Amino acid sequence: MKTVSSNILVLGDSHCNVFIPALKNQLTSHNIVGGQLPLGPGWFENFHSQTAPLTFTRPEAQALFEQWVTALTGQQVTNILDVEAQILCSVTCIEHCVHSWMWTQWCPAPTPDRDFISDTVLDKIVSGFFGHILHFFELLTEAGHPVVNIVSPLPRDNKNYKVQVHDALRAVLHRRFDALGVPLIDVSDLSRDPETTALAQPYYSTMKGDKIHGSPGWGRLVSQSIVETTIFDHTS
Amino acid sequence: MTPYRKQKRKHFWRTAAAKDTARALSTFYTPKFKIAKSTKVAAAGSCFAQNIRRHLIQNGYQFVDFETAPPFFPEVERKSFGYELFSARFGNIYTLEQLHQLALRSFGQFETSEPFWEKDSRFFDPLRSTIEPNGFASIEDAQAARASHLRRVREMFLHADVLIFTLGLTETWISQEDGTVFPLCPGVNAGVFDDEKYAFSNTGFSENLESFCTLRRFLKSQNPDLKFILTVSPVPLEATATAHNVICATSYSKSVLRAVAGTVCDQFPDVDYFPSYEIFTSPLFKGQFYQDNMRDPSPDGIAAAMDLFFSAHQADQKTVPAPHITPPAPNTAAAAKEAADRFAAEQQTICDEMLLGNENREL
Repeated sequence: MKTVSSNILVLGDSHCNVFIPALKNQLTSHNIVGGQLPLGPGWFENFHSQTAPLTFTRPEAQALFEQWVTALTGQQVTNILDVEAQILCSVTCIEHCVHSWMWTQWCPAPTPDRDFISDTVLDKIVSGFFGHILHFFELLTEAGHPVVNIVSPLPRDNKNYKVQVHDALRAVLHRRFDALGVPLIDVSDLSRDPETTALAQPYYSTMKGDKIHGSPGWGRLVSQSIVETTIFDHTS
Repeated sequence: MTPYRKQKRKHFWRTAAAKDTARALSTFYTPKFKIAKSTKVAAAGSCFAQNIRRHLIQNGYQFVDFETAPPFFPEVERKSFGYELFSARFGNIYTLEQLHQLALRSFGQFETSEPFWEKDSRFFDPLRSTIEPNGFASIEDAQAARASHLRRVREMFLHADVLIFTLGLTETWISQEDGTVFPLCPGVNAGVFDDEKYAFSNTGFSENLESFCTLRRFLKSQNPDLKFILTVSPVPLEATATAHNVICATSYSKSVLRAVAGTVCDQFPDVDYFPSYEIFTSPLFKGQFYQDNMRDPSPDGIAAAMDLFFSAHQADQKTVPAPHITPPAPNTAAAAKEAADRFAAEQQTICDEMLLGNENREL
């Protein structure tokens, strides 16, 4: 674990914005910065090069990333591992690999009108999609950062077996992140409607038209789980 | 004047088997019906059929695959999971009766009584035991996967314009209970061999003819426009369960299949025969189209066969160009290894029958 700063730099996608306020309330002695990366949710996809493993492959993206980190931390770094902050990494990993094809064509559970995919095939899909991200997490872990990963909120309904897909992916991700020693923050069961098995209404986003993100209440659940499972350095 | 007077050069050995083997090869095949680029072509059969799939795609034909790998599934592992080999994820289909039963199963008209096979707490489909190398997590999963698969197979039979089927074997293992035909001997990859439950059958001409005619009649009732192109795999048997030498057993097996293919080709206007077997086994080519083990087709052999196929379908018969035949490479170990490595890397085929070679035995 790095013992250099009580700064916590959060890297992730738009779901970070939901739990960061709650995390700030809980970790009042820490300076929590960061959140949704400026390059959108697909940022991890380009965040690797052969010569400098934790830099963006495109120079423009790298320059933008450096500006962003500098603005947040006051540090000018090229390689993210060199930043003097504890990195709380949050990639909400469900939606990214659940593209429309998976909602409409494939299903990990026996269903009458969807193609079935076995647990092994699903595991390999996850490897195919998350291979790069898992490697990135591995490097951050080796560098002593308290990396966690967040599972995005459950779908609001089970249309097209979305909940089944979500749950099957969660199971695979838990295995993968356990093997990596990275906590997977998963509040799905705490925020689930027992009848529909989908996201319970109190955890719906309060933003008009937003059907993807969780409510501040969901953010509090996530924040609580992060604090319970992650050892932050409290030295300053 | 005898009927031979009207025959062409290709009908006489002396002229057809002249020194110009490429020219001779160009007269091997005259398609009964043409395959256009827009024709929806499906393929199934033994491991040799996998080459047909690859070359159809490379040549811009509309090869139809009804059971594709999910996105993000690693490309290097697709074939070992049964993807991108044929038009659905059925693995090798070696016999006509296996194909016939698959067709019936896909339309709900036959259900095997054979239970899923358990091995190390995982479950295998006895009718395609190699497509999930680790098996399924539960019987329910295996059932769901089979149901998905059969839906896709049904779509293939309903929507294909042409089915290319490569006949591989006459030797087969069947369930004594209900006649289910297995692609592999039970116990080789999964399952437990039990001679009270399973029986060996070396099917003959009449059985194979009956299987094809019944299959054709059934499929035409579902898809009246469906046409067939049959080929006989030039790949010899990996092993025989008969008392005969494997080379003699191969000769019997291929002879029966070739005779059946020829018979149905002569009998039905919608059935054609492509002579891949002759391309590889004709004495004209002196075995040059096989690799060193004299079993696996060489890249040059496959290229010659596919060149002939496509040139015949793309051109008017009067102007069929001679297929390209690469002269035999220098017979050096390095050249042979290089060719074999290149072949393995670029044209990987999955041959379930090879598993028979893993059996422990006293030699």
